[in-house]
Amino acid sequence: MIGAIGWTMVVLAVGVVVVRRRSTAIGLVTLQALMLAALELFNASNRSSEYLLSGLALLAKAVFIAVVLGWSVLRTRQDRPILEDSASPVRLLIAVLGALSIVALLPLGGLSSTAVERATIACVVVGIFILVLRKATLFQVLGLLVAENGVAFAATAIRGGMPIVIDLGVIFDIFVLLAVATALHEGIFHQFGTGDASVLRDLRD
Amino acid sequence: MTSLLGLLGIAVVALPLLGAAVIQPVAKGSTVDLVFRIFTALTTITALSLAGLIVTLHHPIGKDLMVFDSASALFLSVSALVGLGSTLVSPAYLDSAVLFSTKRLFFSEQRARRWYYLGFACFWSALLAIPLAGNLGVAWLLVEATTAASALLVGFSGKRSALEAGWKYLVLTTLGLTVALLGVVMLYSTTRGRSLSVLDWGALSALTSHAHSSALLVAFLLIMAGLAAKVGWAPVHNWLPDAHSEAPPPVSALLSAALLPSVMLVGWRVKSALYRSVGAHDVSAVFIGFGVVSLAVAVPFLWRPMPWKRLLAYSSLEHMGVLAIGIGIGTPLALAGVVVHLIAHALAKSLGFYSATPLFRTQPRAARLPARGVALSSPGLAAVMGISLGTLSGLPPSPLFFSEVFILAAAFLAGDLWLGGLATVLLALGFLGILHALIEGLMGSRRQAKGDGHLGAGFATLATCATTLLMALAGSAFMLPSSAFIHSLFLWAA
Repeated sequence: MIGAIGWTMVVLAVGVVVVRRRSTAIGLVTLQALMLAALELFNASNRSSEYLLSGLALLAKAVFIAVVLGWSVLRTRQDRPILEDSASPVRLLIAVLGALSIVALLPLGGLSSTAVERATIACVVVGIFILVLRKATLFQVLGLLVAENGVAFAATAIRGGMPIVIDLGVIFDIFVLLAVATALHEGIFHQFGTGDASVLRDLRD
Repeated sequence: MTSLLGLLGIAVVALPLLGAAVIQPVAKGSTVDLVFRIFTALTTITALSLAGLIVTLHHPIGKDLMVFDSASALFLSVSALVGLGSTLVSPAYLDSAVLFSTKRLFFSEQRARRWYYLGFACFWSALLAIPLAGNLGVAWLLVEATTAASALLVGFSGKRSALEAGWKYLVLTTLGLTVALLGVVMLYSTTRGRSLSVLDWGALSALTSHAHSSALLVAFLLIMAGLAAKVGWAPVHNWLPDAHSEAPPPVSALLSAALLPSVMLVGWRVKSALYRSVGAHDVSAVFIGFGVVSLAVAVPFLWRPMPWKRLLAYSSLEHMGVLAIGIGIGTPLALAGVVVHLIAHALAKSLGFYSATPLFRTQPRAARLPARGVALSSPGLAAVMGISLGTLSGLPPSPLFFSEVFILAAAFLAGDLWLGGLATVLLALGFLGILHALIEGLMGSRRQAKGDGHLGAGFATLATCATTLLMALAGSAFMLPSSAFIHSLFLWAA
């Protein structure tokens, strides 16, 4: 079952590569985060109550992602959609082939199972492709979240779980980073008039 | 004694945050500056006292997720001194015409000062905590914590270029740290224990080479690849020149002189913890590889005419490369070079960045173009810039000259002739590039200057203290390789 959850998360991640609307992409990443929270809450029944706290923190993270990024979308409405460098079928092909290649080439690193490991790596790689292939700054934030969700999936799948201090610390870091990223995104939008990261090309050598 | 160390450790981290909290309701700018300076002074005194106590210990102590060893004392002292210097010069930056000529600050003008100090305190507090982190997981959390505060500080001026730099910094370093976190999770998964203490440095050192050694190698490589992005080692350094050049000068000093080395310390601790289980050759090769590539990438840029702060940023790339090579070699002579290099780089680089505020006051175009003929309009400022860049170039009797000789000699003595030869050539080319920038910047044809470039008494005092410390370091460098401090560092790192 855990492998199925992992690959579902990968499919959701690939969806972020393809979809046009920012709000749809935020929905997909929120769904990923909710799946993680559900998995942790399910595992909490077999572990100490600390993991219930971790599951609730993951749930809060999912809600935070939806609220903060959704609010930012409302405040930074684009006059025109941001034109990507490549069409969505091309992006889909690049992301899927890239992820599968790296999953096949990377040696196994000792996570709880092969399925978990492959799904984790695929998620992280797709997160990187989102960063590279999507031009909107908000999509770049989503790429970071997708990669982080992949790592969180690996942590959740470890038999016995990660230490609660690390779990909660990482979630808190995500809260803060998301707030900062959103603030910078809005600063860029108000300064440049767009949330298109391709305008960020002043600094070159 | 252990309780006292723990108490001081907590105080060091808490004091800057307390200072930032106390100034929030204060409206008057000069009062805000004064109060924060008081808390900074208290923090620095506490940090140096803690470092002094640690040095007297006969062996490292680990307590409550903290570690007190030679490396903690060294890196804590450096971060404390750089933070002190940055706080002292911050009011001049905040008051400067350069800042307030910007049409749009990132924060409202009324609260900008207090937001600045809040971000500064959060950033500095995390930096002070990193050398004391006794656990890989906690160290990762602290490194990640530095990103949020410093990203906002990079974009503080609200200029387009600053926002771009802040964005790139946030995205690239967060991605790198996510990869590092994957490595931490993999490392944790391969151990037999299931508690936070499994990631203590001592516990990781006790891992032996099992059938999982390939898993440990993969975990190690992921951690180092991720940390490399944060240290700014090439080829994952793309954010570094932008962030260091666009951040406020006091923040640039913290980024270059304190953040990069502190994150590198985490990598160093990972290397020391895993070298038995992963393989001494493999872990050393990673550091040496990053070091050589960073040197090779930095050197061509040091030859190009570029704005002052951007030149200093590429110099940071060069010097982090040198430190990586020294850590990779790992012999007592190399480690002596690392210690001298770390301290001298921090002092000289900070001085260079602090010079930016008076430089931009007299030559506003120096923010976007190479500085020219500073000595003709501002002899005092030129002297300070000359000391900074001369030290960074490795021009004798700069302590960086001695540190580089130590590291290169260590490479040759270790039988690594190719490494020693290549690093010598690259450092020589870098030296010539910076020397050229120094001559042109100070003595070249003068740009149109505003004002007389008078240095305030405070800045002059700071520069004098830094220069004195550099001279003392140069004078005492030769005693280090055989010292007890290096021996204890070597025992920990070996």
